[in-house]
Amino acid sequence: MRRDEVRFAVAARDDGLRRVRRLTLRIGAVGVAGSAAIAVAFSHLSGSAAASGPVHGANQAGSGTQQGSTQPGGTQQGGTQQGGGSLQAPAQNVVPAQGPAQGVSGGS
Amino acid sequence: MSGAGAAGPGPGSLGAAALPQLSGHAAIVVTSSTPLWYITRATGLVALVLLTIGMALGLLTAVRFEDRRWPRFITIGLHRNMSLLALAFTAVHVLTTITDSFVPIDLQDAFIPFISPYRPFWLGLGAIASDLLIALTVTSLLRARLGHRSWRLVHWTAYLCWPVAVLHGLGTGTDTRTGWVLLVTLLCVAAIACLTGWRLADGWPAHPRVRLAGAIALVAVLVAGGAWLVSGPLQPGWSQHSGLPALTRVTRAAS
Repeated sequence: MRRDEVRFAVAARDDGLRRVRRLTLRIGAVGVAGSAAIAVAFSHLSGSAAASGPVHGANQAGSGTQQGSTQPGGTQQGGTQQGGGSLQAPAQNVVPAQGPAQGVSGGS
Repeated sequence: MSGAGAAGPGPGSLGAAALPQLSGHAAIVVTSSTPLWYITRATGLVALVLLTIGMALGLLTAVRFEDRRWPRFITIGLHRNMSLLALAFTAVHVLTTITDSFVPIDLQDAFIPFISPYRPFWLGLGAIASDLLIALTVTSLLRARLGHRSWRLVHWTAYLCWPVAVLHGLGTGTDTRTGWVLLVTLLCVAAIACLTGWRLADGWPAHPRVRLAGAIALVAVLVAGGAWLVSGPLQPGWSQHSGLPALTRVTRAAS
């Protein structure tokens, strides 16, 4: 193998390794930024679901795109996870319940 | 790999700040309002995408894809790095799931399949996928010491790891019905299905029956998976079938 060919091969290898490193860094950065963006999107989806979804009545079908599925604990609200999602702050002041244990969303 | 973890309500949810006003009047069921739950789901989805890229690059390596401007060692290097990135995001996914304390998911639940009280089967699939990913990574790092045959044997489990991770994400059901999440997942499935088809068409030229059986199995898995997706996770009420958290049972018993 001539010296020029060796030099060319080494340069090509170094260039390839640089590309691998650069692509890895870019994809990793996109992954981190994407995770943050997706997390924000999920929180906004939950927010919009909360705004448009029913405040009470956890057994109703959820109206947001999340369909209440963002809430793994949704079963607390009457045994459904497809229902109105999380326990939502009511638009009006909460009237304290007189009875024993009671979920705010009235699901139990 | 989105998936299994604790609750996290969106803005407007009843948080701990509301408790002082209400405590004493009733036993209030409160969900945690931690951003960890959102991070769990986000990193799970990104880990699945990275795992898909890593798997795709592995398949491209297997079919010996190369170009003048894209030599094979770039594919191999990226395949290794993407797998490591997927492992890193999976680690964050697991850590945030464990740290978010609303649903009782412990460290052992993340690695020992089917022992979690919360959605045991679907979380168990995630545990299997993460175990396999760790095994694949470790054996690849120790490849020189293991020998090619042992490494190759373990590396074949990648064909199990990826679909199990997809099933974990879809079956847990947290974001399955969210349109763009479903689209991302389906794009991942389509990419791997196409490349697996290429692998079957290209590999084992001396074993046409193996290739045919592989192609039939691929089509059968895709059809069965599609039917399951439509009749299962995309149906209302799927989350009820995927397992109740223990806290729910406690809450129900108390009420």
